[in-house]
Amino acid sequence: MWDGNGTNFAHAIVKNAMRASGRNWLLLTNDYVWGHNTSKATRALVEANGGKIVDELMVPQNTRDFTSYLLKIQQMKPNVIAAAVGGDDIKALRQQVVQTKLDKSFAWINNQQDWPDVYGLGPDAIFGVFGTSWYYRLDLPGVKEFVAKYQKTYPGVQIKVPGNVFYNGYVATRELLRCVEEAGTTNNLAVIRKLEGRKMSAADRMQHHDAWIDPATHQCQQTIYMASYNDKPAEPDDIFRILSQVPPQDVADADAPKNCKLESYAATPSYEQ
Amino acid sequence: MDFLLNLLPHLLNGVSLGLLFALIALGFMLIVGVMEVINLAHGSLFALGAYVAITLMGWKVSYAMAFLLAPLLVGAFGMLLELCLRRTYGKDPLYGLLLTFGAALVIEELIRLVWGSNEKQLVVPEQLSGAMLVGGLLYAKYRVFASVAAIGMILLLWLFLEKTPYGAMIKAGAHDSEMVRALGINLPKLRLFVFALGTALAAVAGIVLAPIWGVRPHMGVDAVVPAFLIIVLGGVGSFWGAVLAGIMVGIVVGLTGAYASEWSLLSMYLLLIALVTFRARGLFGKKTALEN
Repeated sequence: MWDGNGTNFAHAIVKNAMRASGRNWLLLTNDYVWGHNTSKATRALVEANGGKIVDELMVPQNTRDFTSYLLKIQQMKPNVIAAAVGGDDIKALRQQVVQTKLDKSFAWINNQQDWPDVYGLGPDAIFGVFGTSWYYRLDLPGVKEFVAKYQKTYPGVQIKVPGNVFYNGYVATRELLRCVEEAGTTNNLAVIRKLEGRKMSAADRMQHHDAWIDPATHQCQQTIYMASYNDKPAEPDDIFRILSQVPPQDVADADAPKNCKLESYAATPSYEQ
Repeated sequence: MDFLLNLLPHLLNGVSLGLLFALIALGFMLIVGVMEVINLAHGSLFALGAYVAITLMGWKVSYAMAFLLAPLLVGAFGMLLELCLRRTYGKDPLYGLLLTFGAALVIEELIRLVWGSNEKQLVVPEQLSGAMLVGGLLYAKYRVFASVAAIGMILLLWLFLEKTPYGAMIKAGAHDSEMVRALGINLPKLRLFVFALGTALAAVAGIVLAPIWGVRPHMGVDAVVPAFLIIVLGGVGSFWGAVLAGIMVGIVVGLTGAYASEWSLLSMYLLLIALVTFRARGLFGKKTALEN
């Protein structure tokens, strides 16, 4: 698992949002496992920090009309709305929130915002504070060259600069190939051993802090960036404003090692190619 | 009293949503009613309407003109589809179903090829964007416009069907196509026109819904399922049945969205099951010979 999970993003965002906006929170949750996990993490953090969840509205996948949710939110008047809504649903939600100007009336947080989900929508359709694991204008060595190589390799693609999804795919594949090279085999058990606990430098991953793969969960622990809509873009694609970066140890999912039961090496089928 | 005051905006919102559902179902209803073809491409034509309107507006055509022109262009495309369908008439209905299913896939891929897979936005005029305060709650102005547009389209179609000779022919064709042919009416031409009108209505719905749902190649899937459900609920071929069923679905989805949100999408199917259990032909469907 190469991306941050709902808990990582919730850790990064909750304390700041509570301090800035208030203690009464409403959860807007996509009704499937990712939404449930993210909302569970947000709820635990809000309550642990003295906040209150005033309601949780479940959003079935493929919901296209959010008006009844938006009316309900106005009737409940929470300080913060934490949306764990993804895919096409978040696109429709965002569009309708902006149409009703509710982006100005409430503090919205969206735990994670994937680049392809907002690219091309225009800066007006981005609202609230959200998390991401990478941005193409991070002021770090190698980022500009990475963007230039992407543009040279994929001329004419609709997404003109790489986002977090492309970035994650790239660094994950690269690390996997390195492990295959180091192991000298594609044998899955040998490759897993190389990946377990692997440390990856910040400079190599073009992030602010070193990352590692937790041997207990196999999840990559990495820097989480908080971002919002950029009202002073340097170029048309510059639609995020990075607000802060949080080191992986501060956003770690402390319960995950307890809850995650990995298959043993002996029980994992192996093959040679 | 507080509960009623809280309920009222959700009821009104449900009616507004229902009018949009009815708008989506109109073209579908017309084609099923007259031609007995379940047009599974209805959703893709709905999406095509939105994309064509975006392209026209990109060429500096005004929103109002795009609203008129895009359905005409999609209607012309619908005529081509009807020409392909002709070989299936009088045969197993499965052929028509398969052809329109294939057409839906082709249109969706065509959209990806021409416009790409990324999300697009249909920008509405400044006067229609933003919000208005209704009873202390913010409500999107565009949503009000969309509901009014839906009412306008429903009334226009009703006037056309009820008050014009062509409407009379369409209704007669829906009732007994053999008799219509025997009276000397050019049935192929009538079917061509009905199909074009049905697809143009799908395009109108696509343009109206695009600023609310967003525009993406597979957006039609979100339209075709409720359309199908509404015509079954309203009674196949019944104009007011489709309108009433659309409003019922809107109210049920709107209220569950507010008070039992996890049931909001499922609620329309539960409504269908409940109604069809007691009234298999839908709200205004005609009795079959077996029921008489």
